[in-house]
Amino acid sequence: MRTLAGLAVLAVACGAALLLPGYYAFLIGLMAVAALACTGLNVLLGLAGEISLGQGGFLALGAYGVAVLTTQAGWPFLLAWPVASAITMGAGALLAVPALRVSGPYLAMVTIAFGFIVENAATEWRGVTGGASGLAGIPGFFGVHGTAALACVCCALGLAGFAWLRQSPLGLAMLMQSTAPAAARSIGIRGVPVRAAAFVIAAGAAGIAGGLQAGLTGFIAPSSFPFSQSILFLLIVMVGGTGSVVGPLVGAVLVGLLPEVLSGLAEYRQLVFGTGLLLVLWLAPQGLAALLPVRQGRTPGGRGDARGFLRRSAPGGLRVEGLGVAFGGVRAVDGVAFAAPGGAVTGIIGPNGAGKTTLLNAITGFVRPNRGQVQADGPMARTFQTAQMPGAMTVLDCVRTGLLRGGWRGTADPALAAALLEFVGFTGPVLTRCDKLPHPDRRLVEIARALATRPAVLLLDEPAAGLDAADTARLAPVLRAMADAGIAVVLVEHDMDLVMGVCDRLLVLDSGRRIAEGVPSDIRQDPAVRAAYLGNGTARPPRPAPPPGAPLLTLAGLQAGYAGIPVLRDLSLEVRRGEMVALLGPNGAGKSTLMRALSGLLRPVRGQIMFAGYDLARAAPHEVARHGLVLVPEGRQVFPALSVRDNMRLGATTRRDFDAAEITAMLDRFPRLAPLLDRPAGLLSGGEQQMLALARGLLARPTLLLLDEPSLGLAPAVTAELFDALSILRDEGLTLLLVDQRADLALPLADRCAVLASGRIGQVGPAAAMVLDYLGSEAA
Amino acid sequence: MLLSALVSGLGLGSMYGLIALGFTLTFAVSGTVNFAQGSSLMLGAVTAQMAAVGGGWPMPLAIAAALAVCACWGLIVERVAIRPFVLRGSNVWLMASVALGIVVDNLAMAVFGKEPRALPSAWADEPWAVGDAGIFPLQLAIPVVGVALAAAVQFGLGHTGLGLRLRAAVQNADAARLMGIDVTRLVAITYAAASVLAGVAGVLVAPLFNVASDMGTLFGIKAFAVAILGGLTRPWGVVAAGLLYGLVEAGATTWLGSGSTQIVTFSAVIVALAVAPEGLFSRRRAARV
Repeated sequence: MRTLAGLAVLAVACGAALLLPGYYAFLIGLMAVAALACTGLNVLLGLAGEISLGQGGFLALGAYGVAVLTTQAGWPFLLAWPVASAITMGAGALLAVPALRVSGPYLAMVTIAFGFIVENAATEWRGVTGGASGLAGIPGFFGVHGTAALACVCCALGLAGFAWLRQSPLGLAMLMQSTAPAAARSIGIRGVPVRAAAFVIAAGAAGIAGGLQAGLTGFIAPSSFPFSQSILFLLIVMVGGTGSVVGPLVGAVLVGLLPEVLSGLAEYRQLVFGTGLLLVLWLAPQGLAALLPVRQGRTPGGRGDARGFLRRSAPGGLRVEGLGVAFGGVRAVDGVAFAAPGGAVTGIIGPNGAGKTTLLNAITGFVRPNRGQVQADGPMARTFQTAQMPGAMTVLDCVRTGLLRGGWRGTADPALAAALLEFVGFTGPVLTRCDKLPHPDRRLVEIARALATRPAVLLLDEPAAGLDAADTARLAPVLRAMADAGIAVVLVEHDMDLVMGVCDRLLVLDSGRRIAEGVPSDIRQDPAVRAAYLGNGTARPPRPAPPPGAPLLTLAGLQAGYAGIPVLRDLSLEVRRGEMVALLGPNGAGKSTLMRALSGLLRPVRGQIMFAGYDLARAAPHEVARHGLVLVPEGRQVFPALSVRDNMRLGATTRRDFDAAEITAMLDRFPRLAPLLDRPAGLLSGGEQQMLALARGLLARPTLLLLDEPSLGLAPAVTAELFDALSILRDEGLTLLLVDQRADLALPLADRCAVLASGRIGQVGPAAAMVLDYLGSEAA
Repeated sequence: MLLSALVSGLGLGSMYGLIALGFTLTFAVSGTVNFAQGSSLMLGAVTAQMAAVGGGWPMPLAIAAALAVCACWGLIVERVAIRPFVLRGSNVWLMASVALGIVVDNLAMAVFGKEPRALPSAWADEPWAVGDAGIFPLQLAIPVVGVALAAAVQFGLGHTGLGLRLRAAVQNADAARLMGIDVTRLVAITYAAASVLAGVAGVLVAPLFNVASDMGTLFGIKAFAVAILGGLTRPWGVVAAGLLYGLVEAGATTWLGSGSTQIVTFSAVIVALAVAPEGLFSRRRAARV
């Protein structure tokens, strides 16, 4: 259908170019030239994700190539044109060398500079280019009519070429590289050659278009290729629709016709153009082509054999010896050794901050280890804690890209990709765009993509995080089936039911070190493991229950989430003046999301956040802080380059009555900070940073202080000191809401405890009565 | 010849540095820039010319009006072309600011006319004879004002409450919000400041060049090159890069002829970025997953 419609449009355009009066043929030819140049730019912008403002420069190169070779050397157009195009591509390859060392605004600058160099060289190299007065009498292809028709054919070929490229191995690699670079790296795509290819293709298309333009106009001068043309090309692509096949054509026709329509308003043409462009960017950010009906791809026919594809004749394995990673003196991973045999699931567990993800990054080469060895019997693949999804790709193409393993050739059988998706339990439509997927499906698609590289070793980073119980339960047999195919499966996970149920062996990390290794039943009884998770529980006498104050914070029907994926579902909770409430719950239950929602960092939320008589559900974070609801965020979030003193001063931003003497008073509470006042906060230890974050929060004179995981990654001695400070604050009557995984410390301190599960408050009660089980249900 | 190249290079260079300083301010806090910053320069020059020559206002008043217009313009750019797109998580702000620049350039042309006009200044009237060259007092004043403003920005960042809040927002915007800092407003302020800096450059260069509605484009691009070379986030880096760029430009014009100026300078930009991909005056950051 689409092909037919395209051919019909081409036939009409060619007919018009041949039969209409010369001016109209000229106009059609120019639009086709612009669409062709913009299609090249679309490869760079829409597939490789790079902005270039040098497309006009390449267009000029192609045009001058044809002009010089025909008028100065006397070549016929049909010989000069391909040679000029090839020269332009060569220039593109040459510019790619410096250009691809940089990206983003830096790359934009290199391309701008290139465009100016071409424009000025054309003016200065008078003997060849005719200088500012340009070159006239350039022959075309059978006059204006013939050249215009040729331009239409080339434009059609360009659009067809783009459509082909977009689903080819190279195009898939470009899209993956630009929208999910870490994932691209993990499946073997090498970024520089892929981006260089996009750059050269873009230059080539502009060169071809430039030659046509020279033949069409018969005259060129430096003023034919101003910098504004490069901007115009970029605008054409965006107005038409970045990454869409027909987008550049739509944009070029619109921009080409605009001057004709507005011929009466010549003075204001640019004004209308600029305003129109802003309107399109506001109202149709995907471009005008997105308003056209979307083409539905075909679901793959035939059946793929996922198990057969994954089965390994000899089970592979992974051996890690003495692996160490240090970040600026902190040993994130400290001499870890373990083996993960093929055909088995090896779990890596440990409290937050134990170094699990860093270990995984070091094994897969995302972080360079300082020492140690990693040996794998075959290719490794991995998934990420936050699923790395290439937004603009379909689910099927995402997995097919994995099948290609970075290769530029190959078929990437859609049926096999679909079979892999089925194998991991993905039941949704395979032609959905990845950015439209709900959260659990992203996890599954990512596992399928990793499997598509046919790994001997597969490392999964918290695949169950954010999944509800039912989804997690479906994950276990998938993990088992992967191991049964002979893959060495390494699972980093917090969900203890999943870990205990599916793993053959477990490695337990704490503070970067291996503290235990063995089968799950032994690990469960291991005293060192229980201590790492639950702590040794320095007993603190609970205080007598405070007199019940008036409600200070009342949450009713709170709902919040990320990108449409709900995390908090209908959550209700009350905190009274003067009490301390501990909020507990497994990872992924929504504790940090609740903290972000309360502090205003996460918006929008639905439901009510009543605080001291105001509903803060719509308030921005700085307004929430000004109401006296202050968060000490997870991971401390001190300002690393500012001094300890300045960090504290910033805590008092909302107050007019701040006195520098309060900083001195705060040092009595946290004597550790006294000698560090003028040191940049980034150089402090984790414990000192946490003290600073707490001091900073207190200087805001909060009515209610929220604390998100204050003990995270801290040594026991510092943690004890920190909780001593918290107990003093509690006794002084400050209202506190504390999230911490150290239930042994949080519970004795708190007056009441609330347990969060799957985005709702499950239990609420006196803290003393609560017992929390972190090592799976069987451990209780 | 050397002296006049030096003076003109330092003068132009400090102008590029001023505009680039604006890029630095907005980029550090919001990760965005007004890609049509040249239009702010043009607005400053055009407003000053229209007020001083057309309206017969005294020069200080005309300059104040020009800078006020620039500040408002910065706020408009942020509100219209930057914020809506940043809120969507889209990088289309770059093109939106270009589009808005096209709009304002053409609005200025409609009001001001196509013909370039002069902005006479007592400081660019009688050249001082220095050796065999003539130098306007304004040419000497320009680098002084440029470097002084850059120093003022640096001082403001380091020693005022607003500067402290800005630095906090640069380092960790979310944490700054938790401290009660209205980061959105800070971003708007940096846009106004960036636009005023470019406006100062416009007012300063207007008496030396002619004032026209399209005078800003090339200035803006060169200033962007300077900002990139300086490493985008380091105020002193971009000022140094600006002076360097101005000197290279003036040197190329003096010794190789004005036709080669842009070829030389833009080639130098490409080579510099190939050698130092994060800018000449930027510390390399380690890539993290």
